[in-house]
Amino acid sequence: MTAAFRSVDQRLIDAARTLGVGRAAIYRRIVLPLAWPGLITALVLTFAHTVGEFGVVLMVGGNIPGVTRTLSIDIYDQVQMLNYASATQTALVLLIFSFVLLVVVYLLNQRTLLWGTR
Amino acid sequence: MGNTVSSLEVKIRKAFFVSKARRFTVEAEFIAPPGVSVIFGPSGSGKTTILECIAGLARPDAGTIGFLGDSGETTDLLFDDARRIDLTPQQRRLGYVFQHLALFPHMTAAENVAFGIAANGADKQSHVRDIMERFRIAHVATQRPDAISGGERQRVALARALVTQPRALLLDEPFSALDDTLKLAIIADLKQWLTRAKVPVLLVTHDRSEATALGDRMLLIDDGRISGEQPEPPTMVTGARPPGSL
Repeated sequence: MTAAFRSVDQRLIDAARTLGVGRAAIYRRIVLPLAWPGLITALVLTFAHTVGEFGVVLMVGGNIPGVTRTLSIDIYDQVQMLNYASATQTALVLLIFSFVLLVVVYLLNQRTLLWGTR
Repeated sequence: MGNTVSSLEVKIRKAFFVSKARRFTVEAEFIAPPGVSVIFGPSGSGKTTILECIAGLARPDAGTIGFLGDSGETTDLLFDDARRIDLTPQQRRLGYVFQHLALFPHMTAAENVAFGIAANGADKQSHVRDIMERFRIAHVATQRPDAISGGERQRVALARALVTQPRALLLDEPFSALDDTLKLAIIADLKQWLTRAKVPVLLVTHDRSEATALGDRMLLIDDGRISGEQPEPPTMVTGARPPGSL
């Protein structure tokens, strides 16, 4: 997220200041629109990381169904119960989900590149 | 245009480190009356720093910046270190066209031009349309900066600065990337505009043809040299390096 905000060219902000536009409006009209692809990327990646979280939740949070059970822990449980069919299904869902997220992040970054050219 | 005719008076000193060992001091003292004053000198002589100080993007170590009234008194201070006056760039109401133009890449040309106009409504639209026609960029109004030519971008940047009716206009080598034909065409349109808006214009350049084509008077800047050419006294600019610096 810091990187997203840093990527906004300071010279654009200076230009906006000389045009008489206040800080809040500069943030709303320049910084946020230019930083948002990066912000969304940060959000998506954080979310994806949380969905797939395994070690910390299992060891510290515990494995409480419906409360702290993440997808990867569910797969682990299914495998423990030798319920391979169900484990495979869940794994497939997780795989497709992460693939879709990666595509989204990739498209957002392309858009950032387009705007960043000038 | 809502502007009273007044001159811009600048007396500033600013020191900064170019590298660990090299300190550079910019000292400028001049009065820019309405019309185009060219600040002419080689790269690295502190020209941009002077404009940034005037615009409020950089802070001088000492001095004053202000507008002179009819009687020659400083009526409107933008900066005065002794009296702790330091207006924000927003409060100064000066137009600044950057060397790199700094057009907003996510907005269309028209949105860029309209950016600094506070009020909304039909008035704003007609203002924007009017100035875009004057600067011959009405046909690219709905295009983003990366889709238009270098000359058109230059014109958008000029229109964006002028539409806010600034009290003075600061131009930092805005035409340096253009070929001569294009440059002269834009300069002609700018001059046309300036006959209506009688404000001081400071043009920073190291290009002699640009300086002579647009300038009414020339202020020379060179490190360590006090020099002036065709000045209307007390006009002069100095960029001085202190003794003992490398």
